[in-house]
Amino acid sequence: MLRALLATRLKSLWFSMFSRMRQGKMSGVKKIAIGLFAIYVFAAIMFSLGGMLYGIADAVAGTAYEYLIFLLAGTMALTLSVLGSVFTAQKHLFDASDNELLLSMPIPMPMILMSRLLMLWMLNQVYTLLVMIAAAVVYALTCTLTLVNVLTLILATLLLPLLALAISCLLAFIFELISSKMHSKTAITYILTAVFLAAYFLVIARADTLLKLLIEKGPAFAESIRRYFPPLYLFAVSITMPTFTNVALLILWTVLPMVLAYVLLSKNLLNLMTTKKGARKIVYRAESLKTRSPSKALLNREWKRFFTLPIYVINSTFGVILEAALAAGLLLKGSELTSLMPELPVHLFPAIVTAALTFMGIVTCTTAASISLEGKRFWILRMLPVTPWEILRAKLNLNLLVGIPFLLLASVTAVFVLRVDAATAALMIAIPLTAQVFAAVFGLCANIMLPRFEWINEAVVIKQSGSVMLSVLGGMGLAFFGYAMYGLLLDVIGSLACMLIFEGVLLVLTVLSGVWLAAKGIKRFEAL
Amino acid sequence: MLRIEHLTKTYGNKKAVDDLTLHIAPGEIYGFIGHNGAGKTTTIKACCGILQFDSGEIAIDGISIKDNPLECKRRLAYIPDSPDLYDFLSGIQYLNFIADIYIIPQNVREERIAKYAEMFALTSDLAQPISAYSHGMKQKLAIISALIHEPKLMLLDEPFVGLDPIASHTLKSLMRELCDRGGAIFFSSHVLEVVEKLCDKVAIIRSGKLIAAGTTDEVRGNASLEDVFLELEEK
Repeated sequence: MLRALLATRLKSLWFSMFSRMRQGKMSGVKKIAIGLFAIYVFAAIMFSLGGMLYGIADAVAGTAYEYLIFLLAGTMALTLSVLGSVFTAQKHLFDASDNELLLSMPIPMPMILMSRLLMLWMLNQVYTLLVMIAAAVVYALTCTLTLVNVLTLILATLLLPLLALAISCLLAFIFELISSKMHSKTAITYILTAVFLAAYFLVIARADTLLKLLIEKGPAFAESIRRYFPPLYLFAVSITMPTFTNVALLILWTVLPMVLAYVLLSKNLLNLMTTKKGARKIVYRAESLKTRSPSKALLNREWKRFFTLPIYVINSTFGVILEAALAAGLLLKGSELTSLMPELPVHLFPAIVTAALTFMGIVTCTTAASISLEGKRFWILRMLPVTPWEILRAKLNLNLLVGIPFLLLASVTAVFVLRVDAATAALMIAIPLTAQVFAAVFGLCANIMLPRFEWINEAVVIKQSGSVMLSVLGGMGLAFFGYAMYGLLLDVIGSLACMLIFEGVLLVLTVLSGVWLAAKGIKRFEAL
Repeated sequence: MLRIEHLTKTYGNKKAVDDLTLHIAPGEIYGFIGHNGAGKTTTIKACCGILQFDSGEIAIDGISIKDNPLECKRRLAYIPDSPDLYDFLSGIQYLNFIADIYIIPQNVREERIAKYAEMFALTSDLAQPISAYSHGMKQKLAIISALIHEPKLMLLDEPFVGLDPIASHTLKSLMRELCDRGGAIFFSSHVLEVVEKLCDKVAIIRSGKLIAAGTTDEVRGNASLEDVFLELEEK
């Protein structure tokens, strides 16, 4: 039974990402291209993580502090797993649309819970592997890797996601418990998410300092970790100094929290799943209705849906939050940039800020999940007397409305703070804006190519669907191109010319995406 | 009002609808019956332009659904078998959205919403989010939204499922009123007693093929519609 439940859940997850592949609607070439692209992204992430880990490995190789490599890797993997799975855990544990169906069947509650925890553990395992493969390679290149090290490395890599899962489940449980007591679940989700993101940004903002601290004061830092968060310390020393005590304690520190989380959930899950929130009945009082044109009505509909799905907002506005933070940062500390980043040449500041803004524009993408989110309600749009273009335009406009204001604010602030010449200023504003338009158009194309209408909850299409991944991969490919071009051409043609070429490439890609959308995309959308 | 000529739709190798021809005149309530998977929903979806078909022609009020889908959609209303509506909107927001799309003037939409919501006893619930609605309430809201632009043709897929007896009675009265005004209704149902009492004409479909069509009296003869249906299905 457990196998069947787990298989169903994994199939749903897989199907949500690659439904068209399963339906045989995708050609072999496209499958290979997507596969290669996925490998490239996996490799790119591992290389960047490996680069960070190599910095510390170089300093500690051959000393008694080699475990610092895995201490850092473990911290990264744990953070990535918890951040990546906490909202998914909440959705899959408490809000899955098949909860009622499964509860109505003669399936023991622990079996339902176990199947969901196993699926989430697998998800965390993927996050952990991303970091640990890079860490293992770095360790093998810089230190001596024995067979015992390899075995404990594998064991530790399997155990760490349990700890991450226990933390995610606990956080998801707290979120759900609080929201079950509140009338407006959306509001409380926003508040809790804001708190969660604030903590996250605090860690990210101090990441550089923490990394420096780790390299400079490694032993003292490790001692703090050992004292205040022993499982991470045990995770690291179990790999580099594998003793029976270390490994046994690691097992205890990772399995025990998961057991406790399991007990907590098994005692409360049924109650939380079946508790209907105390929704107050709002009695309708007839009042004057506001009229809109069909185009504005469609946009208003997109807008309302966007803000009633916190997970959609959180996933799509990461860049917007960064833009606001960057604008504020530039206004407050802009004059001290040279002293804050002494290692960077001043003439590269405009290009660096533009690259950061471009990244923020690219990650602000609501369109990649927009069509899939129609789900079973897609029939409404299709029966209405509006053209496919009007529907798609509303989706594009939402993305631009969400993305452009803060992007523009941050770009203009940067232009004024950095006091650049007119040509650079124009490019500093144009490049991020073009990137934002590209992200919106490309995201929509991706969703037309990889739509997914049958989903258990919105989180699946917003976070894990094929179109969202394709859109992220497209953005990363663009970032890689920009990085490579700067690396190769900066000394030859200078920063301004590089920016000009990048803007040209962005424009071409945006136009190509737009042409595909107009020529083929609309027809494919009609046929969905 | 609705002309379906040689409609064929295949899913993979399976012919869901096979060379179906039906004509529905103004003033007619046309019942469409058949076993599960017979092709009823496919036919209705093709008629309202939300499902592309392989061959044949569908015309609404003389306008081809293939050539001019928007004009056709302005004349028709469709209610699916499962009323999945926008959970993120309240009932009144949903109705107002539909009215915006059909460009219904403010005073007219307010009047119609008030009238139909009252008829279906949904007025006090219109401010509630649709996510809080029961299946029957969603069905009522879907019906009101279908009536808001006063369509000439209504295409209904199992419209009585989930409705309480009073709402069912109201819907039947509204269907008759619409036809008396020169409109037409094409609806599928498994409730043969309702079809028998309500419909002017009936069509029976089996495995995508039309096996009987005509006035209700012609199709049933001296037997009940249920007996005729069972007999035809067994052949």
